[in-house]
Amino acid sequence: MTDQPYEQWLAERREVSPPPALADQIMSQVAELESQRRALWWLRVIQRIEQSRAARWGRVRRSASDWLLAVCLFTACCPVGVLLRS
Amino acid sequence: MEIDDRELVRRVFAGQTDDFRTLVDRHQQSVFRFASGLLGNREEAQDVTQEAFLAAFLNLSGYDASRAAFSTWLFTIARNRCLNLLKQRRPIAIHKPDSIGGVSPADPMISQELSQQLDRALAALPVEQRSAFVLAEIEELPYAEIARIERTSLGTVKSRIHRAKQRLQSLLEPVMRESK
Repeated sequence: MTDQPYEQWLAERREVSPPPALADQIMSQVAELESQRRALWWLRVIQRIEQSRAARWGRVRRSASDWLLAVCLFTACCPVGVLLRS
Repeated sequence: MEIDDRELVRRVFAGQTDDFRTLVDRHQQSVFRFASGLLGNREEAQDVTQEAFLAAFLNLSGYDASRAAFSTWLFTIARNRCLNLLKQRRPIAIHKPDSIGGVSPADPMISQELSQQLDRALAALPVEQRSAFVLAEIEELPYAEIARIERTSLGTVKSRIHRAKQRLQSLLEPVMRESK
């Protein structure tokens, strides 16, 4: 493949250039992706905080309800015990 | 002193995203040329180049510098994008470029015509041959790197390039005969 027309065609193909604005287009999209990624990162942090708060609140709520149940049982049973002893 | 690709990738990964521009400036032309040769269309080649860089940026954590050069990895992404695009395309009726006789390459107009004929001949090659040919002849990459991009053996790459050249040469022969 040393023929001149082929070499000429090959040289032309090697000179093909992308449009001048392509790098700027890519970088503006990269910047957009980066800001989206940061926003997503913050969202995940907030979600984690929310989840942990909810989990804590859930634990408090469970222990409070357990405590309330114990009080109710105690007050319900106490007069019976007092009556039995008397 | 020029910062190498590996260091630039490390910096981008560490949050210095502006350094990605150096990678874009360094490789956009070769990726565009490759996509252009494979797709035969400037607009699509531009889209593929853009998509390849964005995919590279998003998946930078998946790039292993110890396994391949950044350019090899980028070419692999671009190649896959091109193949997807070619699969989506409707089959285009390509004129059988067997007859390009009756032209003399000395004339610039005819030379342009010949160039177009060669473009058509390239487009008519099976995609594997076309891809290997573009990487070898236009990008002038070593065969071993082409084998990594194409995910095939060195022997297969050599055979694909050889067959592609044979085909193009057979198309060029009548023209050469005419011009002598």
